[in-house]
Amino acid sequence: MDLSLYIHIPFCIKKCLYCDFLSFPLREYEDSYEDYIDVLCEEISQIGRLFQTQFNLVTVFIGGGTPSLLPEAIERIDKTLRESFDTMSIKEYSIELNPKTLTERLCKVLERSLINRVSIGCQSAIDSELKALGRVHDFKDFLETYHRLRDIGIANINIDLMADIPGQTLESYRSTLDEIIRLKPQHISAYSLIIEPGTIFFDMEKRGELIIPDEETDRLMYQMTEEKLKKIGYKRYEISNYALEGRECIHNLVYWNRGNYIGVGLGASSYIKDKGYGVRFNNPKSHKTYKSYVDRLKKVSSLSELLESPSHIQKDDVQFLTEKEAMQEFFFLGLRKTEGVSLKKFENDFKVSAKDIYGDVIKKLVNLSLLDYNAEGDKIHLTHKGLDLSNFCMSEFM
Amino acid sequence: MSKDQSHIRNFCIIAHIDHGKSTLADRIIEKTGALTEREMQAQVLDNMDIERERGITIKAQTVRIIYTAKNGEEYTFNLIDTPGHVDFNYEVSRSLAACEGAILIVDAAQGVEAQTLANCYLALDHNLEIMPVINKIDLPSAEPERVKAEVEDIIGIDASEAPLISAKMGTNIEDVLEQIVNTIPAPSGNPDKPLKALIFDSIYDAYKGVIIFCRIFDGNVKKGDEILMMATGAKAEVVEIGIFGAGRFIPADELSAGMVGYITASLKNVADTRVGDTVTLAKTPCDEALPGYKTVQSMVYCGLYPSDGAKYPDLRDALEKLQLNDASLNFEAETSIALGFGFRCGFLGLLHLEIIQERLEREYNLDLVTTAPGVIYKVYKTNGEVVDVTNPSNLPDPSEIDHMEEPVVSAEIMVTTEFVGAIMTLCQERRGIYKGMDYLEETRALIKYDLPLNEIIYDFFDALKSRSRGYASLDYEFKGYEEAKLVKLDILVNHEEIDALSFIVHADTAYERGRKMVEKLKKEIPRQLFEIPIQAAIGSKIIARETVKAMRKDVLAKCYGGDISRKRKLLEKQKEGKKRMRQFGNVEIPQSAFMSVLKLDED
Repeated sequence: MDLSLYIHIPFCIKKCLYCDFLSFPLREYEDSYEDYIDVLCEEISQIGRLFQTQFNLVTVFIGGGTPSLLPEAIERIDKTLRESFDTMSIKEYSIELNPKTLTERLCKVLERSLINRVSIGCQSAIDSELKALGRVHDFKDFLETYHRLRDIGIANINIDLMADIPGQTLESYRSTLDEIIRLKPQHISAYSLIIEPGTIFFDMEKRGELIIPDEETDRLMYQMTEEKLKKIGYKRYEISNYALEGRECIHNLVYWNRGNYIGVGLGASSYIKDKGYGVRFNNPKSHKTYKSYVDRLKKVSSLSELLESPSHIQKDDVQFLTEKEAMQEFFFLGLRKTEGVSLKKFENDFKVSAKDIYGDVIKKLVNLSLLDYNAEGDKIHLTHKGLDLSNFCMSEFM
Repeated sequence: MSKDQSHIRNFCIIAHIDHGKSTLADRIIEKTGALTEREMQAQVLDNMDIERERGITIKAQTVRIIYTAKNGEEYTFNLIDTPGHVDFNYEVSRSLAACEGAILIVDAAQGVEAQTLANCYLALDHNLEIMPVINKIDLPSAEPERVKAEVEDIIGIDASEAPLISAKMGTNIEDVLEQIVNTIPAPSGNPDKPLKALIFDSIYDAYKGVIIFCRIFDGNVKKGDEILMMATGAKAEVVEIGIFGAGRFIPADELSAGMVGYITASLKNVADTRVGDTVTLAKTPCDEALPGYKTVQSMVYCGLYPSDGAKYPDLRDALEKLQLNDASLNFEAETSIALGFGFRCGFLGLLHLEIIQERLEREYNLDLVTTAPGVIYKVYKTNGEVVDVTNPSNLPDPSEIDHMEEPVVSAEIMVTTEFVGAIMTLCQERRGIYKGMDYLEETRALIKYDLPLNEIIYDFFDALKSRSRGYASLDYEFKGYEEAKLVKLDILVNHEEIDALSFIVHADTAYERGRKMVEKLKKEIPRQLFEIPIQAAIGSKIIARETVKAMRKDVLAKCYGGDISRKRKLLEKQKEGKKRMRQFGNVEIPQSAFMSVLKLDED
């Protein structure tokens, strides 16, 4: 069976104004981040011990935070990974990297590691917009980083872009797109800003201090992204993701296809389809509990011991999926892909026809032009309008 | 039990909301040892949950207490608690009629309020001896001497002897008890005359059937007697009689002139035992009923619908059960295109409506949709017919209407002088007709207005409070019907009339209200897949319009590193939200939209 591995490094230079991810400013952890990396590497080797015999590691994704901030940590993680898993089966090994963090030291680490894909947090080509987001880089920094990565032989690059930035206009968004297209990255992730509770933007919005583009503009930005990218060979393969042929992010597709993945590091999420409809769980979100969890993990003797009772070793939010929940996931995750979901696969997985369970929902959404069948009639996918209203559509399957 | 009337004191406590009526009642009960402290639940007399939460008394509660006075004699006190809200004025008047005296509690900090005054006048009307008590002297802002002077100036009764107490702290409660003995007159009925008893309350008990709360004026009643309710004509054999222990019924052999107690008979419905009716013996009836009986009229109507249509029978059962105990609640089945099957219910006032609604939701676990409350309009048709309309949907076609009349109340608003302007503006906005103003003292005024009832049932009380920073108090009584230029305002959502949102309004304020309604609905109706016009119309004329724009975007772009639970929660919430919507054609309207239009003055 295939396994994907997500590795979480929760440190940044500083937190962006919109960020609600589990991350902390590095300077507050200067004395202790190395301890964290110790525990993280311990967890990786324990996971390797438990999974190596039954699973093939196919993708790795080091995310954060800003993992590129800590080259030594990357080096150690890479080393631990090689010691703990058979790395021959890895098809894609990504790291998130922010402009201004690509030091010579990091370049060396990247060159020597197995990492074969880099995802750069660019967000915008307009400096004032980057400033509005609270990013620490400007566009020139990004360009330097991008070219340097190409120079050291990184052939597979993703660039993160953002719509709905305060102060952004359709015109400024267009120029960001044009700048990025010129670079011909293999992959572009184009998200809209979402104001999440607990962020500085959330408070600013409540006070009426945040002015972001309206819904109409947002949709025009999305349309523009798709049209422009389509013309030059990028395919929108997921709600917010575009790639050149064969360069779709394999790791992300594992999430949508409900494949097996283990998250290591603080608060990281996992899904393993072992018995029944599989189990989801998360790592503890506090440093202290995380450490004691890894200590317990060391004493776990077999994979089945871990999967039978994840909460026993302090895994959080353990959810053994019911048939119904698994069916719901099948749709609300699968429909994020533009190719949609296969009704045959549904029948195969659940031994019942999708039409028996969701016939009315499918019919309703098809009638509203939100959902459509493929030419063969064995797959359903969201239409353009359906992608815009994906939550509306997906909630119908709940 | 003593038949000696000279050692009985029948009294009630009157006060403005929050001035400490129930707390004093508790103290009196506690001091006289009717309950041990352990049995004492805070505020014994307010025993419904809602009453305790809102700090008001809805049903009159009664308790008998034995007090040994300083003169060594033992006295029987019957404390009849009165409902504390203008909605229940009639009940208050009947409770007062059962007493010889009233303790008037005045808050040492807030002084005399409109309701204090109204209740006090009511008590004076019944020739009760009024015994003022100044409460809350423990408050830092207490000014007992000023408040005493206020009682003398405004109400015109002697307050020089008024005990200064803190019911909360239990300070000087003895003084109150002694004064009850010394100032409140003993009853003076004739035990040898035919039975004449006043019903001041009745409740339904699952085991005993109807329990009548009464005050015996003349004669006596025993188990086995056949009694007659003079107004309703109902007859029944007495099964049990007794007196009110604190929190329980104590059976007795006989009730005689001057006493307060209960009677149970083979009666199944409180409708047979109306408050204010006179109980006498069927064989030897008294010559004339006690004065003051009225059939209680519902003043405010609204539609109550179960959110879940399948709960309609449950709602009917619940209303029937509540009605057993509350003769002033009435209801009849009705159907709404928008809301399905439900009931048009009549209430004494808006508070009564809210209480019933809350009890249905809380005690009977029903999720309700309430339509805008309205009053009874008298519609004079061109063919000479006169019809009462409580549901706007039943209003005849305008071409068949000659004219309409609406109920008007005489309202008295007491307010500190700095807010007089604001309150007068409010009354003018609500089509009030100024009837005069008295300065009760330098800083306080009593403003009198005639106001259409339908202008004060919406949110008048809230507006009054907010425009006077909580200082204004209101009292009103029904005055009569007056002709008014009224129109039916309809709300159309996506060009379809939503009958549950229609209401009757004065022509002059229709535009304003229509505009506010559509603005509010625009906020309440979530965006859907297409554009939804929301219109207010009088007949075929559209007077206001708003548009809910089509939903263009409903997408969670980011995935949180494989954390699916967040996404699941979001979608489940969305699905749950859809369930709480009602489908009209292809538009979904949340239930909250129906409720939101009831409070238009908030923003």
